[in-house]
Amino acid sequence: MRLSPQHLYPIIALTVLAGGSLWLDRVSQDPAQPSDPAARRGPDVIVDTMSLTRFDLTGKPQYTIDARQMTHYPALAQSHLDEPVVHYRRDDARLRLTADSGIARDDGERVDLSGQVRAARTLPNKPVATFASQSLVLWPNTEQAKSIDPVVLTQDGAEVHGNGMTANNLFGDITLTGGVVANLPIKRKQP
Amino acid sequence: ERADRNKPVNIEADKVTVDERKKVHLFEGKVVLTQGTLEIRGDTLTVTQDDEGFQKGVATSQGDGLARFKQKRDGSGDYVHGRAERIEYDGRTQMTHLYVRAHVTSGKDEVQGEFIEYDGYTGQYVVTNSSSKSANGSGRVRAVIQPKTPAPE
Repeated sequence: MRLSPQHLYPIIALTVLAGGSLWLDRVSQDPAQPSDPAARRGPDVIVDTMSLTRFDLTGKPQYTIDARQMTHYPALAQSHLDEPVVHYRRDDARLRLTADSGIARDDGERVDLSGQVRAARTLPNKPVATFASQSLVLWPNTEQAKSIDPVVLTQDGAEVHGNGMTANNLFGDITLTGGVVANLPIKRKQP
Repeated sequence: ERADRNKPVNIEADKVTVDERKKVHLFEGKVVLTQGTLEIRGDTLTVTQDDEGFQKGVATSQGDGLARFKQKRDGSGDYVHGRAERIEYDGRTQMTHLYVRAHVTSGKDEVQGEFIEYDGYTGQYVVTNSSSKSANGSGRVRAVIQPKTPAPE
């Protein structure tokens, strides 16, 4: 089948058009800015005095992270937090965590806290339970947590020390391992 | 010793798992509980606390080891030593129950059986050959009670 000029003309026009737009795109790009976000090393967003709330699948607020400053690094898909405060809720239970610094992954699956990590957990009709360590990794969606540093738990005068901790349920099942020492005072309820 | 019940409880172990809902602390690995003169040792120790703050402990040992217990007797200064496969201690009643291969010595007195109940208040014990306070007639208990030399006239 022989192609006559009438047939060729649209093809030639389209080719010229495509080539032109490619050229235009290249020319309009700022050579200093890498087009691929992953290749970008530095932050792309910095927020001062931040408060971020994440909702669970049912639309209820699951946790809120406040921070003096948040710096987002696209290449790492994470945000670095200065003086983070995590407020975690589940039904009428509350957990408040503070630390010197933290790293929150973009997918919200994990928050790493480090430096003077403190937590206070309140459950209805229960004395406040506290946690203290130098590090804590939090997996909010599965309510798990882990610390590889020495930990001190307190509640109602009782104090338990351990070299590390895992929590399978932020509001109930906690395991301390290594050099466990527990001091349980006699707390007699007055008659 | 009677004063033990008002002393804080200290526990050392390799690991502890806290179940907040059930208010159960499970200690594992070379567990040592001390409360005043009372001391309980085992491989595992489960501690629960009642609403008035009294603690109950159940100590067990793995392998052929036995859980152990000792406590000073009021007044006499002697220690009561006990061992068994399972030792249950009730902080409220000061009762210690020893189950299976139970053996208690107090000074030169010695008792053995399948179950021993030691009353920390009175210093008395009950020994049976079954797994509870009621004897069921099959095994035997063994007791060696030393004569107490009367005070010189």
